[in-house]
Amino acid sequence: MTSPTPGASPTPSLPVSGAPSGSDAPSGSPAATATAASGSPGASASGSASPSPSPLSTPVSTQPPGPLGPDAQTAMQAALVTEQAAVWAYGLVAAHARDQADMVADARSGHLLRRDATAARLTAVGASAPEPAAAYQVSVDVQDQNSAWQLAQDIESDVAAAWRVVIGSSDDAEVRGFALTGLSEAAVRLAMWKQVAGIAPPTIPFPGQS
Amino acid sequence: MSSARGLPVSRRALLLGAGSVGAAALLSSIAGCGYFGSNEPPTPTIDFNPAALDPITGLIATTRLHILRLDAAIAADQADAGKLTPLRADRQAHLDALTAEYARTNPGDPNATAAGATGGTAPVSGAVTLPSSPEAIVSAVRGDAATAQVQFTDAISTASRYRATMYGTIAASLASHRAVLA
Repeated sequence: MTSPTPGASPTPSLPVSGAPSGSDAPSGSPAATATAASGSPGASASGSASPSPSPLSTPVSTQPPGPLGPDAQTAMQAALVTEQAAVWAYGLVAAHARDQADMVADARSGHLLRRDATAARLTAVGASAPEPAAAYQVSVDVQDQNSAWQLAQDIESDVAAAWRVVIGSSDDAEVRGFALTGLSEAAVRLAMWKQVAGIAPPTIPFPGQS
Repeated sequence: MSSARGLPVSRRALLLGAGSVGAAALLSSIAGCGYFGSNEPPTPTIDFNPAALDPITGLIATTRLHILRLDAAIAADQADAGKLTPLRADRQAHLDALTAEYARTNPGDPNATAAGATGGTAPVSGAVTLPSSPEAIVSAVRGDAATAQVQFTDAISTASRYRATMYGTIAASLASHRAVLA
């Protein structure tokens, strides 16, 4: 769905070994600067990260985060890149899905929260958090409402796939629970966008599985 | 009659002594028995060896039950049948995947083989009771999805990576079911 635009910005790398991204990660972390640096279209920098508690949220593990294995680290870094792309791409969706402004705002807010949480989760264990790209190549040429809806579905499908991989990359219950929340949220948004677009059925049996 | 020490022993004393020895012998022969049977620990009726049980069987049972309830809901609530039928198809796909996984990891189980041979689509039959009003029926189905979502979420913690991925994506699907029924 989305990939960094060649030449528009450095392609985010996915380092496997965990070189710490810096001791000042919380304030100067890639996630914290991504909004300003990416210049995402339609993105409002203020208030967009407010939590939106959902009754559909998955039970979250209360276990403290532990070290990430190599597989889990790589998968979580890939999920972070996907969340960064989702935040950027929802700016395109917002430009044409004006009747669904609330849905777009909620979705983008959810991806912002998850992006920041994922970056924090990585840096907390000394792993690097990839920098967001300035722009991303999307699979749909967004020109109208229908293509905006299609892009929104693609975004959520990609995010679901990324978090599904994270679940299978670790034996740690906390990592799996963290990833399941991302997968479930994406599955719910995907169903909502399908309903908006009038696509039946709106649900799929195995979100994130191609 | 006299004892070894030459003391006289009466006939009564001799009979009493013989009786005591006999009683002691009888008691010793039944030593270890209580009034109500053997002192051996009873054989448990429940298998306390969890390693012998595949935890996926509980998830399969829940999924089968919810398919039954969805069938009943679709039959009873024609107005919402269009909404519920795709959810039933999702649940059948979940059941197929679960039974195939059980058959893969339990090849010696004849039930597993049967389930795998039919792709897990063995007829699910039985009768269930649902509320009468359409709103209550949809609410019951939504409650089933919530119950199953928690069950699959709980199962993720200790499952293999392959199964954890399967359970996770099923739990996410159930979350979407709740959303479309909200």
